[in-house]
Amino acid sequence: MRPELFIRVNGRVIKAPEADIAVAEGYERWPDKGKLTDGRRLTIMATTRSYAVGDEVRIIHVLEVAADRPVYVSGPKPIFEEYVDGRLATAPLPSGEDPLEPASYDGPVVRGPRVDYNWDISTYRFSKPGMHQVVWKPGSLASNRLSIEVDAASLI
Amino acid sequence: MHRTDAVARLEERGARTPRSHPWEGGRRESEAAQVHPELSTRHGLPHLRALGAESRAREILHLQRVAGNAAVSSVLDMKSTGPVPDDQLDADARSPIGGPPSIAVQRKIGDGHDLSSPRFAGNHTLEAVFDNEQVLDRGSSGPAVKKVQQALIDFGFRLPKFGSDGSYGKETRAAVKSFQADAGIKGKDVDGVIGPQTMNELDLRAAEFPGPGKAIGNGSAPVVGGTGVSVTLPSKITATTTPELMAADRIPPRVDTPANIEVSGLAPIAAPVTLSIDGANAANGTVTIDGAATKDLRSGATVNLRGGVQTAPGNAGNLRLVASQAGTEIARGAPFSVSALPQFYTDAFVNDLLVGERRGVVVQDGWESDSGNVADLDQADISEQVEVTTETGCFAGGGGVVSGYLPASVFTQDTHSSGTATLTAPGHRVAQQTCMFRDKRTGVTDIPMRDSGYLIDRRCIKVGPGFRFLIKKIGTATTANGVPSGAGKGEIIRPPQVV
Repeated sequence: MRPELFIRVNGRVIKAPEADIAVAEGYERWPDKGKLTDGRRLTIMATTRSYAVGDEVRIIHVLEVAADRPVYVSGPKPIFEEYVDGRLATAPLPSGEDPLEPASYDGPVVRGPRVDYNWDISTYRFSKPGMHQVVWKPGSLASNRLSIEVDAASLI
Repeated sequence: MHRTDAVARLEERGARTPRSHPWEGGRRESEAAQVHPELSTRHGLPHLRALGAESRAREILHLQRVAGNAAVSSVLDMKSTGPVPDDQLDADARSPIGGPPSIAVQRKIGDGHDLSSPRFAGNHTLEAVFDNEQVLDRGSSGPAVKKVQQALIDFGFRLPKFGSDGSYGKETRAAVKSFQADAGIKGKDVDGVIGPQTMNELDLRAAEFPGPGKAIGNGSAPVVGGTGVSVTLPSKITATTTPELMAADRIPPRVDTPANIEVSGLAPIAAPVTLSIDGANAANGTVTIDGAATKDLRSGATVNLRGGVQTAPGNAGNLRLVASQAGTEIARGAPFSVSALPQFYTDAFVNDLLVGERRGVVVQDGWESDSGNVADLDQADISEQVEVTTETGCFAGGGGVVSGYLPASVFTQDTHSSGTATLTAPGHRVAQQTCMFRDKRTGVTDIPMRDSGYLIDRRCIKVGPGFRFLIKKIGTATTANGVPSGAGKGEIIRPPQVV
């Protein structure tokens, strides 16, 4: 089944752009998924690993859940604790909150195994060329470390 | 018609006679042998006069074929008028045994002795038969034979095996014999051979029925069939449970979908209008009409279409309701599929979340299939839509969500909860919930699900030193994320929960 990704626009939830869905479709083949921890695996993905300065980098988030664990499928769920080059780039995880369950939730809860793509898409623009690293680390979980090369060439 | 002396003489004797001899070419030897002794012993008009008109005319043709045109011309004192240019000959002007025309043909359309029904008028071969220039019999073939065959079918004389295939065989001959008897032709003239008398009767019968209709209906307009019967099929074959926004027409399996069929102008002796489902198979889906594969109608009726095998994904819209008469299609309905759809969402209380880090309620979701069996929804998915319309205090900033598509053949449980870490201040959150579905069988997606609307209201209130959490979910006609729906079934109102 094709992954479904959503974004928020003016208070409504709509389908994410096709390019984002195409990135998510590559999850099964993604070479460096996150480490499986307690039956859960976080992975972040991007269209490419090479961008120009000023380009929008869209980070797709995937949660893979092993058998019989609950999955809060409704979303897009907010991204907490994402770090870029070691600095927190999103809101911190609220104290006492489960990183995989929104503060207020309305929707189905299904059992794993399941791959859940229904997370917010975080976006970044880099003003300096060079290698940059993104990692999603909510609570005790940690995703793969996504390395992005930003090239100054397109500024010419 | 060029009226020759011979014609005039024969008409004086009450016979419809050939204006000329049509073609050379022999019948089968056995038939020639049947005729030839008569030719040799009793040739001449006195003998012809003793026969019926049809037999008399046929006799002349036999004489022509067996003895040669010159001989018959001599007997009848006729003269041929010279060869007809090829471009004036019918494309289908062939002798009963298929031999090429080789001698003069004297015929004209518009000579005062012409076929009158639109169905036959103007066809050179049939005009020639009417003018006694040739007969149609076993071995004949071509468009003229096809026209006669179709007429016979339309008149209610069955050609079950070969239909109107343009070849005059045993089946056609039997049908012609039936027609001849039905038309009041007597005795040995009931022989299955079409000569002038039978052609005349066919022409008269055809005049009772308008000519064949050309259009194949799209289901919205009445279509006139070959016998003048008018058939109107429903403009759409779709169940009333099909959502208005759904572009694909479909009926569910297991239950009846009524379809009103209008039939008028069907003559008592004409074949009935037969309804059937074109395209029915394991991939496209199967449908019965009043419990059977076909249904014969002699007048308008409401029939019940019932889906059987559901349409497989990728095969949508390959089914059509077809009306035919004696094997000839006269109306064809719009395409449709067989597919069950989800509707009538329900929610029922399962349990409260009273301990741990969440407060709220778990509810059991349910819905119906319009087929009556949720297992039929194995190619449908449902997506919940939640739009937040009020968010204050501790609930601020959450926003709505969607579930994405989940299998419709498996019921889910919804959780409506908030983390205790959030419930540290008063707040109010109101959300609207509806559902939409997609159906792989018909290829539709994002269709609002009938009666799946709810209002979800949660509050956090301060009571003494602590807080209480209140939640209710009530069926309400509403819209969420642009997906409108009527009220779902269920009202879950929970007592205050201690945070």
